[in-house]
Formats: sequence, structure tokens, C-alpha cells
Amino acid sequence: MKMSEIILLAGLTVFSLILLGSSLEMPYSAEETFGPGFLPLNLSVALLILVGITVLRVVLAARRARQHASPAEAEGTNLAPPAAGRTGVLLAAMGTVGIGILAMRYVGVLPALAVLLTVISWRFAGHSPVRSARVSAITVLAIYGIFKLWLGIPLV
Amino acid sequence: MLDSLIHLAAGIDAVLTPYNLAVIFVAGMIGTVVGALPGLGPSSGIALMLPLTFGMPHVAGLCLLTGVYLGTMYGGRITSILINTPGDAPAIVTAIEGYPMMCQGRGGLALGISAVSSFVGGTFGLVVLIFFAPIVTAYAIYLGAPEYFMLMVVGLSTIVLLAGDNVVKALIATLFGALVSTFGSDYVSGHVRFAFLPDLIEGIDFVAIIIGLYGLSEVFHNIEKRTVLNLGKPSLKIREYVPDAASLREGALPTLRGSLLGNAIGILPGAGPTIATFLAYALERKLSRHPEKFGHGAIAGLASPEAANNAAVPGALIPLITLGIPGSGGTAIMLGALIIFGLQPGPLLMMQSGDVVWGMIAGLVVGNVFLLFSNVLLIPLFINLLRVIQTHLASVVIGLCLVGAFSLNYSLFNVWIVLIFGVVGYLMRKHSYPSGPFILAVVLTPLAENYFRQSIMLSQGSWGIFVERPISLTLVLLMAATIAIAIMNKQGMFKRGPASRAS
Amino acid sequence: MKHTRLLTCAVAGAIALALPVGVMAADFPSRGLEFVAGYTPGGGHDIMLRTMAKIIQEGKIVAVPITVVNKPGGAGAVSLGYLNGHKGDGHFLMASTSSFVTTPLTSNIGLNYKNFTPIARLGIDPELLLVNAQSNLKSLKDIAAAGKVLNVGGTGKGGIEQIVTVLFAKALGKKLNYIPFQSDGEVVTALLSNHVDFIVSNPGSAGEFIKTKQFVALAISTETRSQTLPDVPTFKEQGYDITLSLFRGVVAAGDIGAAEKKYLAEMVRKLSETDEWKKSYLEKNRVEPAFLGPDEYAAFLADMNEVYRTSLTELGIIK
Repeated sequence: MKMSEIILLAGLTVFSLILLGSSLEMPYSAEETFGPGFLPLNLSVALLILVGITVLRVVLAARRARQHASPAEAEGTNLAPPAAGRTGVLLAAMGTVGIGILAMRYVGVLPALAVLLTVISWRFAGHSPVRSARVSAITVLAIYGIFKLWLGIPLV
Repeated sequence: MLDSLIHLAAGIDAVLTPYNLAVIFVAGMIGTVVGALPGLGPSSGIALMLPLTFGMPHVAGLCLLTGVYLGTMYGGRITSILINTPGDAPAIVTAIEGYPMMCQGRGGLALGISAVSSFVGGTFGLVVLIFFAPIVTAYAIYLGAPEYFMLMVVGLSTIVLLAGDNVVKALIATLFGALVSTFGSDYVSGHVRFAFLPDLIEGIDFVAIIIGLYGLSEVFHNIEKRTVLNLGKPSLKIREYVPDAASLREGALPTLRGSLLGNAIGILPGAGPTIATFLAYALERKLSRHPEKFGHGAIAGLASPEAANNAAVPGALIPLITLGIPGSGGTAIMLGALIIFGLQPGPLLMMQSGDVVWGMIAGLVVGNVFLLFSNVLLIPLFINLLRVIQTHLASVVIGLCLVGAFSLNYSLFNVWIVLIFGVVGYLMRKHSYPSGPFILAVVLTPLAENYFRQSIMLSQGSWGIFVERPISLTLVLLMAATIAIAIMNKQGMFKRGPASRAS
Repeated sequence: MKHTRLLTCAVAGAIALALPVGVMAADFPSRGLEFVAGYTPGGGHDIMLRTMAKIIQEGKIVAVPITVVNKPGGAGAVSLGYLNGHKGDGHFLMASTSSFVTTPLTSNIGLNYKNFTPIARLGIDPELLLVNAQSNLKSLKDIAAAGKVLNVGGTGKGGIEQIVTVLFAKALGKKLNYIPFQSDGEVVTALLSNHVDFIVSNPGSAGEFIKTKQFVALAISTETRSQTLPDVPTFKEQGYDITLSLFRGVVAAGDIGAAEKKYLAEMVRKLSETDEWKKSYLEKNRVEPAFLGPDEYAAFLADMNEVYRTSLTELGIIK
């Protein structure tokens, strides 16, 4: 199992555990039918079971593979080709977007977006800084024109 | 029937002034652009245009609003196909087939086919609106909670078709979607579920979820893979973008089926175009002789849902005009507009202000024709615009997604939702957890839950209500038959298998 | 043409916001006023505030510009938070309806009606008890005499429709089966198709069906008979003490100066007396005029809070 799938399943586990905990505080049944806690409680338990099954399957498959295959081959599967070094780039891109959104709160949506877009196209799409800044400026101006001036949406 | 034609003729006569035509023209264009922008859909489009109509004559004002409404349905498909970011909820299914076509260099064709299907769907819906509105209403109101519940179950059963190879992964995606949909106030029990933050009291905005799940996750995917789209050779010749006869023939029957389905479901108050598109897609996939092509740019899977979401627009207007009851978010705002205009929506609207309503309907007929031409003519512009920004697609799409999410509620909360579901969507896609079942569960679970509870409350505790009512019983039997046929087919296949190999 | 108009609006708004900020009670208002709608454009709050702004400006009731801003989200919670962030500043006026009381009760948002300054109640939406014209139930007496548990439709659980139903059931001494629907439109549809025996609804969606004689209103929840529906007897005159209506009012931020409060109250009072307001808002939206000044409105809000708190607790929605 790859790291990213482990993260996804772990995230789902935490998510359903939180909902499970909070749905226990709500009535499970109502007068004639089920209450607000019924669906989230059962769904989160079912999700936890399915995540468990998925993990169990992978673990069992790995064990079986180790038993059947020669040690060298097992070693080989573990050392499957790394994700070509792009994972770090991707994580950085996700982080950059997050920082950008955080900054929107303090300097306003559009200024933060302008900087964010420049960084994205410079660092992650491989354009020169000048070109990145120029294209980002055009994009943000177009967005300002359409959303703010034309449609009157309060982009601060 | 003849009555309707006479009224319509009078309406068209009223609409055919240069001023009204200009209004319809502008409304169509505004709707197309607003629909194409992620986050802005029919409701926000109509709401944003509302203040402009205050000074206008009633017919022109209503034409502006309905024109924007219809235009958003045309526009929603554009960003779905070009950048895999559905402009609004009914355009999700369009992305499932349209974006793969774009990646294969058939983006122009996808835009062309979907424009034609939209037109046919819209026309079909208008014909029903013009001739059968009162009859349709009389039947539609007799559907109650039990029928709606069964309909939601039929909708949820299409998850099987969207599931892909790994059933466990599809189930995980479904349950996750169902859980996401439980956030926020539950009007049947009065409780507010999981409002960890005040922003969550009304639940997680569905549109923010799809912007993240499709738009942003696509950007992340492309950053990792360094994907470059195949956009074909630059060309401005319109002939290359008009769909050829063979493609149109392939899309013809699906378009008709989608029109029927979309119109029928659009009429039902409370349901909506989104459900119609998913059902239309599932139906085509079931009927298709090449179901393996679905998900890789099947014309049938593109045409039918597009027809459905446009047929739903006049469908949703039927209860609004005949009863004063809005069937969707967009028509709810139109209800407000009617009140502001001083027209009293309700069963008397057609009698008291028939001329205005027929003028509006005529405006829709004219607008629909106009939208077909403008949308076909605009295809080269969109394709070439995309070619220009192609290498900057990552930043442009991020910009549109984030600002679109902000526009939903004018708050940063939804922008965070987009980022979260962008990451989730990326991870799901990487490990082939299908997004279709997830989205369908988000849409249908709360509806199914509420209609089920309402049914049981209506029957004061008896489960018999689902089989005691004729329409609900029909739906139950239909589903039972479908399942039975599916099982028999499977057995038949096993029997036929060896025999055919032997021959 | 349209573009230039929108542009002008945007520019005017920008100028209004850019005016110097400096709050002194003596020269209040020192800049444009801001009307805060807790729901999206096109919603009830938005329409009310935009109509108010239009009449106030066209009638020159105040000299400064007014902008309407939307702070939707969280069933009004986001706008409460926004207004609370401008504590002590009298330039903000927010629409307040039942969610102003119920949202703080059902969700833990750390604010309630006491954190704000009531300015005025502008009108009420009475509740009607309606039956289908073909129904066997022709009067409240028939309902009292019905041999089975009747199904009652209304919008949402724990809302005013349910509270009226609960009070009515108590007065009758019998069980009524209340079924919550998502919107007024669905409630009306449920009665049209006879899915429920009667509904409790406001005149907004149901009013036209009374005119067409498809629905019959058996009772209204106002103190005295309504001017728009003079034939409908009140619950009270039929011996059931139920007087409960939805309200539409405006509040300002908390802790504002007395002069600012007086200014805003005066502005809203003048507005409520214009013909334009009666014609283009109250009549169109079927709202009953029921003006209350700041102090009466404050007392009314305290009452409503108590009514909702008791009812929601009885229904098991809050602890």
C-alpha cells in the first residue's frame, strides 16, 4: 500500500470516528421513524468496517506474497519505483494553495490570489518569473472585471 | 392546444421588438458566461441579475431572468468539457464524458454535440411547458414522499453502474459521500448535525465539493503527471466544429431519452436537474451496446444528460407558473422576482397576468434558438482561448476555482472546502476510488433520508405506505423487475457462454 | 447600458465605503449605512433590505448612501458574527426574522439576541390553519371531533408552524401528527393533493389558493382579524388562545450610542409610514403591518426567545 492511500484511509477513519462520536449525542430513533443520529451512526460504523476490510486485504495479500515469493522478489516489491520525485512538488503545490487561502483572510482575496497564481505558474508550471507575474496579473484582472465589476460580488 | 398556440403567437409578437430581442441576446450571453464560471450557477446568476430588472418592463425583465437561467444550462457544460470543472451541479455528468473527449482532441465535437443536445432538450421542455403545463401539474402534485423516496432509491441504484471494478472502493466512496451529506440542519428532526463551526450549520456546500473534487484535484493530478492536453491544430474554421452527421446520429436517441427524463424529473417540485442528469447517464449506460466506452468519451453519455438538464429548465418553470411553487433554487428566486414585479404567483397567475407569462415563454423559445447558434459559433473561441492559456492552465483553473468558491457565500470557508476536497479528490483518483458514487451519495442521501422519514410519518408508522399507493407500487415493481432481469441475464450469460465458444 | 449601471453602483459603493471612518455620535452618520442580509441575494432578508434602501434613498429619509451587503451562511449565524464584529458602530442595520432567535438556540454560536440592539419590528407573517376545500373538515369543531389522528403539514421541525400545531393540540386535548416539509411550497402541494389533513402555513404561498377556493382558512394566529383576510376568524375568537406570528424586523450592532439608536429608529419609523413601503413591500409580500419601536421590539424578542426555548425543549430538540 502506498503512503498516499494510507493517508486517505487514515483520514477517512478519523473522519468517521469523529462523526461516530458526535452522532452518539443525537437521538437514534424518533417517535415513529429513525432520529437524526441513525444515519450518521450506522454509516460511519459501516465505513470503518470497510476501511478495516481494505487494510486487512492488503496486509494479507502482502503476507501471502512474502510467503510465496522468494526473498529477493519480496524485496523488489517493497522497493517499487519511487513516485519519480513529483510527490514533493505536489505537496508543495497543495501547501502553497493553503498558504494562499490563509493569506486571503488578511490581505483580501484578490491580492493573495495574484501572488498565489504567480508562485504556482513560476514554481510548478515552469514559467519564468516575469511571465508568471504577467499572466497572473491578467488572470486576476479578468477575474476582478467579471466577478467584482460586472457581477458585483464583494471580492475584498 | 389551439389556445396555447394563439397565446404563444401573441407572446412572440410581444417579444419581437428590438429592445426585447437585445435583452434576450444579452441574457443568453450572461447566462452562458455565468454558467461556465465554477461556483456560479442558475440561482446565483438569476439573483445577481435581479436588481437590473427592477426598472424594466415586466416581459423584458422576466425574459432577462429566464434567459440567464437557460443560458447557465448551456454554459455549465463549457468548463466541464474544457477543464473538467463543472460550472454547476447539473454539469457534473457532462464532465465524466466530455473531458475525456477533450483530452483526446475531440473537445470541439464534445462542445458541438452537447450544444445540439441542450437545444433539443430545451425545445422539448418548452413544448411540454406550452401545451401540457396544466395537465402535467395535475399529475405531478399527486406524487408524495413515498414516490420521491422510491425515486431516490432508483437513483442510488445507479451507483452500481458508476462503481468501476472494485466494489469495496466504490462502497467506501458511497459511504463517505453519504456521511458528508449529513452535515448541517436536518429539517425533519430539527437537529443541527455536526456544526463544529457556525459555517457548517447549513451543511457543506455541494458546489464547493464538486469544484474541489473535479477542478482542483485535476490541477493537482496534472502538476504531478505534467500532463499536456491534446488540443489539435489551431483553427478558426467553424466547419470543423460543427458536429458531423455520424456523431449527431449517434447522439440522437440518447438526446431524446434525456429530454424526456429531464423534463419529467424537472417538473417534480423539490427534485431537480442534477438527479435527472445522473439518471439519464445511468440509463444510457444500461442501454448502450458499448458500455465499456463510458468514461472514455461516449457520445451517448454526453448527449443524454445535457439534454436532460436543459429539458429540466422549462420543467421546473411549470409548477412555478401553474401553482406558484418553485421546484429548484433558480425558480425560487424567480418567485421573488415575480412578487417584486407585482405579479402574484399562484394558481391565478395565468389568468391575471397571462400576457406577461406568455411573453416570457416566447422569450424562452427565442432564447433557446439564439443560444444554440451562439454556443456553436463560440466553440472555436473557447477552444482557442484554452489553447492560448494552455501552459498556464494550472494557475487559471486555481484562480477560477478559488474565486468561484468564494462567490458561493462570500466567505473563505467554502474556499477551504474546495482545497480539502481537492486533496481528497486527488487521493481518491490516484487510488481509483470512483468519484461518481461519492457525488451521487452526497446528492441523494439527504433526499432519500427525508422522504423516507416523511413517508413513515405520513402513514403514522406503517411501512405499507410504499406499496399501498399505485405509483410508488409501480416503482417498487419496476425495480424488482430490473433486479430480476439483471439476475436472469447473468445466469443466461453463464449458460450461453460455453455454447457460443463451442460454435 | 446594464453594464454601466452596475459599474456606477459598484463605484458608488466603493466611494461610500472609502469615506473616512470616524464615529462621533454628534455627526452620525459620518459615512454610508450598511444593511446586512443574513441570506443570499434574492432571499427574504435581501429583498426586504433592498426595498428599504430604495425607499429610504428615493424618499431622502437620510442623506447618506446605503449599501446592502450579503453575509449568508449558517442560517444567519455568519451575519450575527459579522454584526457582532462591528460592536458599538451604528452604521450597520441587519434584518432579523425568526432565525435571529432560533439559530442561537439550536446551535452553539456564542451569541444571542441580547448581543444586539433591537431597532424596530416592521411586520408580521400570521399563520393560517388551512384545509383543502374538498375536505370533510369544515371548521375547528370538525377537527376537534375527528375520530382519527390527523396529519398536519408545516415547514420544518421546531419552527413556528409546529409550535402553533403543538399549542393547538394541547388546547384540543388530542394528538396531532405533525409532518415537517422542507419549504412552504411543498406544504401547499401536500394539501393540494390531500396527503395531509390540514396545514399550518403563512399566507405567502397559500394565499392565492384561498382566492381560487381550493383552500379554506379555518383560523388565523393574529390577535384580531387581518385586514387582508377579513373573513378568516382568529384562533382566539374560536376559543383557542393561540397568537403567534413570524416577525420581520431590524437590529443594529450591540453597545451603540443612544443618539445612534434614536437616529436609526427614527429612520425606520419614517420608512414604515410611507405609502411606498406599504405598497411595494407589505402588500406584495402579504406581510401584516405591525410596527414596534426599539423598546417594544426588545421586549417582544425576549418573549419570542422564551416561546421558542420552551417549545424546542419540549420537542426534545434542545436540552
